[in-house]
Amino acid sequence: MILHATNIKKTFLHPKKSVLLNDVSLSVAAGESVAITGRSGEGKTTLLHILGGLEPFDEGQILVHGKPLHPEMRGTKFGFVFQAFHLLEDLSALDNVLLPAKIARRPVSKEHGLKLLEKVGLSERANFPVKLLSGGERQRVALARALCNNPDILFADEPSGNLDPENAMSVNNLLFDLVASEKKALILVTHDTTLAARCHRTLMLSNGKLVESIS
Amino acid sequence: MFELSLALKYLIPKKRSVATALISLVSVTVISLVVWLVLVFLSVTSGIEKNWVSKFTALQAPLRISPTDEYYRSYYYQIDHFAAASNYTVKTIGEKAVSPGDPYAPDKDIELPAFFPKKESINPVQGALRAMDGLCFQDFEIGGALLKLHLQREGRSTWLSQMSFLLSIADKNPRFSTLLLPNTLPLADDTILLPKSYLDSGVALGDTGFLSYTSAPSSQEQRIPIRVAGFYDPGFMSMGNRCVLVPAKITRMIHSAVQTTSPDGTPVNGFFVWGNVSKPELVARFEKAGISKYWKIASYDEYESARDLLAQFRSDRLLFTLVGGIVLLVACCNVISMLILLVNDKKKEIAVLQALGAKKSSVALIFGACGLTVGVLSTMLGTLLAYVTLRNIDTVVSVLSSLQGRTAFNPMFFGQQLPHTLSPDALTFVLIATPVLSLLAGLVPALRATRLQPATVLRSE
Repeated sequence: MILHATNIKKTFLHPKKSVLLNDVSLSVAAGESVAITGRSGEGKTTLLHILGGLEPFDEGQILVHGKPLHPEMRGTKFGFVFQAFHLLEDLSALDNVLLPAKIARRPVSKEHGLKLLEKVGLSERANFPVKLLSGGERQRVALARALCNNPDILFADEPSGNLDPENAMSVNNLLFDLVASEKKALILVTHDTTLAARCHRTLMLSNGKLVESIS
Repeated sequence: MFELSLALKYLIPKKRSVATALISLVSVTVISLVVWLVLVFLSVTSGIEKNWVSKFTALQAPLRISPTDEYYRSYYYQIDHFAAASNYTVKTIGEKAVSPGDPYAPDKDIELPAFFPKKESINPVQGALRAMDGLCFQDFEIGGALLKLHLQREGRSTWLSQMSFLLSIADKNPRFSTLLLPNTLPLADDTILLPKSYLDSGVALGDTGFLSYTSAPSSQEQRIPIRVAGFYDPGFMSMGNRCVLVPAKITRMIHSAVQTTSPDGTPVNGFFVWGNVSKPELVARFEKAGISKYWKIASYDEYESARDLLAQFRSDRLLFTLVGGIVLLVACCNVISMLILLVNDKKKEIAVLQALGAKKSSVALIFGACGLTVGVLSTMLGTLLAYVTLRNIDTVVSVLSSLQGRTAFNPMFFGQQLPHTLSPDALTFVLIATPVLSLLAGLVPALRATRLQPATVLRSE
């Protein structure tokens, strides 16, 4: 198992004390894709953030390659794709793609970034400021960025949630193609049952519990 | 380093963050102005002090050795009264320097009284000469006399009288010639050099007259004929305009006839020392020679005629430096407001960077680098402004003078021209203080940035 989470508990104190995640356990194997679905407000994004080391949790344990989760793994073992893209507006597409390597202080060549952009079909836009790119293009840049440090797991939070159907289809296809070709594990949060169905497993989050819904 | 490149990108003004751009501009402008002000003030005052000290030490010397009370109580000083070889007259230090040995001859001179001090193992003056071996030094004497100059102009004859302070000319002084005004005549036994203010009174080269003093034993007026050989710039010395430079022969003549004391406690004789020797080194030499109790060694800033003025000037400068430092600190605090705005503006990016693996230290570094960049930029701008101002200091002075309706800086005190070079000390001060203060100011928002929870920010976005 690449990622093994057991008995995760997360409680929010504001606006009133409520248990959002209660004894949630989850394991993801290398190359496996897992979709997490559920109604809005059930804590899907919170679970994704917890698994990705972006948010602390109250109880439980998360192991990555058998080692306890550490925030520094974000830069090396994980890649993130957000619904709102979250690119750095002041940088070009290429600079955005190479940013994780620079943050991790890894020696990285421009060619590596261009190769990743080529994979997402944007090599011609490498030097474009991302603010000039369309929504679909931005998400593809975000996808290339997520792969920059060759992570083991990709965390995707509604990756096509902000896109029109055509672009959504294109980005989703790209995401699954890349995950398959690069042999990455994928944890995908989505409302879209069709998209969830493309994963190996679909888990439903409901009343703080994670239930396997489809094999 | 991605932190620095991001910091630079953040600092470039953008249309969509006008408030941050405006505050950045204000911060840089205010810090630059303070840097400019501090640099100009410290450079000018430091230059003025350097000029004062330069003229002062050119007239006298960086170090002065004067006799203590112990010297005047010593056998070697008092013995002249009892020695026929000394003509029963107390000798000046200069005279003792050229007449080594003990002048007293027990078989010829009168018997010494019972209370007479015991003969020391070391002759204080000869010991001092040995201690100063290898240094550039010369004995000096100070006396007082009435200067009377006969001015004959276009058939009219007038006399100019002035009670004067006489300082023996130290021809070994390596910088003495820098004080002299052009056209100085060759010096002789009867020539004197007057402060340049005498030119305003109509005194000219070659004018003659005499120095008048009253001999103590006879109570009769004695006159020493003199001739004006030149004029010199006395600098800021408090008695400068009354200090007449005369040959040592004249001061010795007056010393032998009348006891001289100076009103401000300036020693009336001793040695001036020039060259590369510090006071502690010289003190160590005198201590090693075992003669330190006979001599007081003073550096130029301890001289009676300069001490108070220099101390006050330095104290004022220090006070302004402190005020400048505080103003600089306040100006650098602008950086805090600017960066807090920037942190708020870049919350989402900070969260994204953290999501991509950036450590808290990297986030802190980005905003610390922003503060440092503002500090460095402001220092460069302020230094450039200060350089341009100093290069055009005469224009600034004339504008200030016209605004005040009188000369802004009296040339008598400050010289004909204010200093126009950047002081290395002042430059070092601002080059270190400004970036450091800006960096420290940048740390407050930087710490704030590191406390952001990436998940909270990303969810809200």
